[in-house]
Amino acid sequence: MNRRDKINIPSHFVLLTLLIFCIALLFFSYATGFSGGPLQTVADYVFKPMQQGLNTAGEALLHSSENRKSRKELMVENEQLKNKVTELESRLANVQLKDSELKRLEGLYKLDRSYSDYDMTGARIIAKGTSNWFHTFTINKGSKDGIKRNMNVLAGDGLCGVVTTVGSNYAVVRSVIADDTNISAMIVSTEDNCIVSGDLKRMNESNMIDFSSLSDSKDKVKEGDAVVTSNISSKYLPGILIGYVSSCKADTNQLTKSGTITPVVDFSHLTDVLVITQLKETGESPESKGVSKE
Amino acid sequence: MKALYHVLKALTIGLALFLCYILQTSIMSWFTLAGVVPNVLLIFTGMLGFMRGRKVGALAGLCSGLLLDLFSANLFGMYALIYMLLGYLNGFFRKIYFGDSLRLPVILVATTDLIYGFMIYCSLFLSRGRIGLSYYFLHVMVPEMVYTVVLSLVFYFPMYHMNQFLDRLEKRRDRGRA
Repeated sequence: MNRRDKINIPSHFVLLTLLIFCIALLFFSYATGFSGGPLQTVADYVFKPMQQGLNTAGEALLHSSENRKSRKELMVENEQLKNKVTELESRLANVQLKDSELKRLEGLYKLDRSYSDYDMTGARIIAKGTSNWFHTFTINKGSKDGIKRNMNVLAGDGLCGVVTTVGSNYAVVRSVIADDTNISAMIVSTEDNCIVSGDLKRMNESNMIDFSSLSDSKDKVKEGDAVVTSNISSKYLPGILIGYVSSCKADTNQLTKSGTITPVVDFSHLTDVLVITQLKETGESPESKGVSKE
Repeated sequence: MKALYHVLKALTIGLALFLCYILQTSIMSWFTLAGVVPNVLLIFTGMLGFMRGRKVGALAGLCSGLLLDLFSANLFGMYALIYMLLGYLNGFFRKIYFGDSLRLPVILVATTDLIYGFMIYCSLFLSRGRIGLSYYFLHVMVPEMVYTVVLSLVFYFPMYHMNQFLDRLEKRRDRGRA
């Protein structure tokens, strides 16, 4: 028994050591942007495959309940779909004609900068964020697939988030609706700049995000106006749709306006996203930027 | 013998941590109720704290926190610090834990989850000027606490048996030495 007593370390000593370790880690990660290092390798080979497998299993379960449609229903649906295919095919031919014409005209006007031209790669969401306080998720592609920090992530038509941490096989994305997101944005109709920020409270209450600091002296911004990322943003590529203005009112200073935006992305049903493999060029090194201002 | 005991103990706890973590990140998001997910890793850390003592609690908390930090977008080390402190605090209650009733575990898990909520609010929300604690208390902390407490009733039994297993290991080691 004496031997154990000798080796026994007092627990307040353990606490102090771990406390110093944690605080040192916090300072270190604040100063250098460290996010895991060797631990990320563990995550790559141990957790990521498990999460991916479980996620596939979960999706299969969800789909199998949808699979039980009767034969009659399927026949009817098949017939309807066949009709629709022929209809769409004819429309497609029409659109292709128009598209080629549009491309030709865009070429003439040098307007080919819409975000359909960015290089993108598809990714699958393998894990959701772990707390009720922030909206983050993990995707199944990482630095091996060319994903880098600060790349923009799209879902469907709109901006979904930005990559914050990259492992070799996975990446963590902070979504637009997360409470600590701030985006420099622009109202399409008037080209006025504003700041779009996620807010947990607003999101919980009404599924919306906030905008503020909009200078709209002519009162032209109205409900339903599209909001896109602005070209002065340091992280986000210009012209990506964020959402539509749903309310707008003057601030107490009578100079700026603020209000709410309905995001275009349905964040509760996300499964696949697109990552734009192109970083915004701002002429300054990414490390010199502040953490909160994006 | 001593080394073997420590290896076995670390392996058991590590495996449990691994399972809880996978459960938390991949499975719990399917069971969202009222917009919140329960906090499995907090249950794990807290229970290990009052079952095995301050040191094990703090270490388990540190490990769970580090894992959470890997897949979160915050400053690296934030969760590690919070979970480590919570594990350590729970360790103080080992003296009055006898494993005979569910009352103590439930009260401890509930309190731990509330403290966790306040810590997150203060460190990550209040620091950015988000005031209105009452809203966050009613809409995030309390629902999470209720859900976590309900889930902790399910988790208590596997954790209890793991604790028994570790106790048996310890006894065997002591006997081996004597």
